[in-house]
Amino acid sequence: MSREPLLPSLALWLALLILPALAPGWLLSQLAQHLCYGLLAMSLAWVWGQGGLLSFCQAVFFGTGAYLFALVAMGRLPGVPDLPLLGLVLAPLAAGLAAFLAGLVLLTVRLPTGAPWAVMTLVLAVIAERLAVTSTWLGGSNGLAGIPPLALPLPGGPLELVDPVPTFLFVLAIAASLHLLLARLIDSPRGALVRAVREDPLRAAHLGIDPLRVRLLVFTGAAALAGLAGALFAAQFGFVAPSLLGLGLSTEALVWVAVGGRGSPLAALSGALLVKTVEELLGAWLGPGWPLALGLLVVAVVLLFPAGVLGGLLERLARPGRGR
Amino acid sequence: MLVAIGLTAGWQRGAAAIRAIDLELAAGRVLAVVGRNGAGKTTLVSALAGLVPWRTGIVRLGEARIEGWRPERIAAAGLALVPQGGGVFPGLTVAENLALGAAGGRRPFPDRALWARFPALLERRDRPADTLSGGERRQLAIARALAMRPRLLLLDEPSEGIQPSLVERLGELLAELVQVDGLGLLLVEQDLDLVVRLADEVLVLQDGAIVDRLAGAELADRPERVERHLGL
Amino acid sequence: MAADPSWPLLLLDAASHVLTLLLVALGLAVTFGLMGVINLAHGGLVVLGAYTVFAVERAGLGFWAGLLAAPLLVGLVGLVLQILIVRRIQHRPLDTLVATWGVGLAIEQTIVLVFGAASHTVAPPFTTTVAIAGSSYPAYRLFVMAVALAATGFTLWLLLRTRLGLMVRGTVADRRLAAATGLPIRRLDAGTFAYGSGLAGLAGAVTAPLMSIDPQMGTGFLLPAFLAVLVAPFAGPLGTVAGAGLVGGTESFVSAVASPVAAQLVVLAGAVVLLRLAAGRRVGRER
Repeated sequence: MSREPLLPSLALWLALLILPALAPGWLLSQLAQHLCYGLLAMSLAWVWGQGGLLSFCQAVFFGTGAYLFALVAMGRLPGVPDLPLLGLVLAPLAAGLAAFLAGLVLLTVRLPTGAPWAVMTLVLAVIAERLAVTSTWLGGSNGLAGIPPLALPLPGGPLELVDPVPTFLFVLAIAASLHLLLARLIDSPRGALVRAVREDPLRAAHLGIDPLRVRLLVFTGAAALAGLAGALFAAQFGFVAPSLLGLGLSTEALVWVAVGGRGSPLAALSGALLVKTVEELLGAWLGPGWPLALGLLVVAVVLLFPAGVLGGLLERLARPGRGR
Repeated sequence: MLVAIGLTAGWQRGAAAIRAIDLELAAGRVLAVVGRNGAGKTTLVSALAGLVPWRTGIVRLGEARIEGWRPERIAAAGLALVPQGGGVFPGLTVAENLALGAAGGRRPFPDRALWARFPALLERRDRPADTLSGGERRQLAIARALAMRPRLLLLDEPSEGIQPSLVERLGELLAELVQVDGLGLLLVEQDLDLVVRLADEVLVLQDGAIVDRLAGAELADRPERVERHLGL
Repeated sequence: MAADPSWPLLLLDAASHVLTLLLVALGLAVTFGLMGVINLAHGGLVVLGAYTVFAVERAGLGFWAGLLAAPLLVGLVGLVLQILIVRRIQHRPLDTLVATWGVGLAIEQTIVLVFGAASHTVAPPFTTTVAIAGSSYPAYRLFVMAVALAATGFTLWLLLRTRLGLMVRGTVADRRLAAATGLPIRRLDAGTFAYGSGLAGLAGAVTAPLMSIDPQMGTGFLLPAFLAVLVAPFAGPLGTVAGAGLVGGTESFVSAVASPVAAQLVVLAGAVVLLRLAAGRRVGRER
């Protein structure tokens, strides 16, 4: 699917917008965090669904953003003022830079979209987590705690994002605008270029497109998006740990996107919200059975709904009368 | 004996590549299929071999109804294919290629009669198939199909890309297979001289359907009847 | 490790590491290298093999019964996996990756549910030591090395010297032609995948007494093994031997002189460089 569906998108964002009037605070806090996971899922849908680069390391960039935000907000970065808002700006840049460097090395390997690429991203995620665990500067396996929240410089004095309602609305505004931006990008000629490279890199190269460049840009852009999501997450959670940039969260994100649908950012984001909500509801009850259910769920979705559960639905909505 | 009635096949559901094909091929006979590029000749032989999805129609091999069978089952039932331009396993030696043919036909190997028929291959038995010359490779492809001990042989443009003197030898080999071994051949061929020499019956294919059929002798007398369809 | 480890022992440890890796990579060389199936459940299958030995031993049937049961059981699991899942999505490599990862997770969590998340130990069947270079070396480690070499040799023999192996190679060389030649390609696919899975089970079973086993140890096996298959300088199981030597050798050497994290980084960097070189070679051949 190339076009992001307008009506379902509007419906989701409007439903979330009126939520503060109805839902209790704890649910809003939880949803605000899940929206950060949703952004991570969106970034993965971008590299995987649009770019054709299955990434087992998307959480590395989420974690990079989270750690960078923590370091800036806690004043641990020498020469950088400890302004949380500055951390929010620097986080996507740092994550993008990390992805650019990693992509520069990895994407030039043969068959970049196939097994070698996927295995390399797997290894990258493992190494990133190991590095964070062994680094005392990053707090080792304990991570960094006591991260100050974001403060918005409003005319009537700075507003600290601690209460659920303003925090939720702030995250919601960012998530909705990023979704809009990404959807427009995907529908634009540049987005078509990305899909052309995914479908047939050789033919794209014959048309004068440099597949490596396109892939590197998508990988970097998606990492920046993941980095921003990570910073937003750290600002709310007040705590970062190595598990934020490891294989565990990376593959969890893969589940959200596989379940939701990799073809559309909306489907991926909804997949994250859906799986996370179900996890909150059933996780405690199922215990270790939850990851088992998750594993079986992924297998079932891949076998039965190759476009994802929501993605398949959206596709059918987008093209009525052409039911297969 | 192979019989197809109303065979329709193709990859796309709506637009079948071959439509309503009727044909009959008996042991010891040669049925030739001619037509322009894109007429559906390769699709026809591939469909008979089970390599192109069957849509409708009946295909009988002996007593068995084989339409919709998987290719390995059709091959094991005695219908061997020599595909266009290839038909050898690259990277495997000549002997291994022939052993695979024998394995596919559930036959023993080595096969002394087969080696005797292809002395050039015996000399190169331990060479990888992709290091052979074009003519030798074509021989190997036919020999590989024969190692299956098929009842019927489907040949997709066997003379394509090999030099004229070798086409002559190829004709001798195919004639021998029919007359001595009693095999039935379905021959897709552009070389009309070869068709005239071997065919008992000729089908003319155009846009996936049979537009004309004539006896081999008729083609020899009035080649213009076919050449018209071939755009010659 | 002792303050002044003698070189023969260090080399022996490295060889043990390489051969253990080879045993895990061998199964991948069959399923991934040969059949092209990117099986992320391979790590889970190794763990399953280790827990099979643990369960059989706990049931009082002894280690050797477990060692025999593990490859059979895991091979059977692989067969079911191929028929139910892999066969249907094999033509979509990325989906195969995701689905087999899900299977790996399911295997891992099933083991957690049955045996708990804590680690266990499997007692080696013999604790004799052999005197090598003035120190004593556990004989069981030598046994594991022998099993790795025997499994490699057997796989090579199967592939290169038997009619079954020839049929597998034919199917790999040209699937369509193999089908048109009458080879039972679907059964060959399933059988090959089951064999590769059985090798994973054997690897887990035979190495179980060398370490404490836990449900999460699969990834630690999977990644170096995948790298070993990826950097294999030439196709086939022999290439995997070389790949395992490269990856395992580098890993144990850098671990000894620096740290395990450094070893992982060096292996990753080395793999990238080797794949770059291989890409250059490939392009050169196409021209």
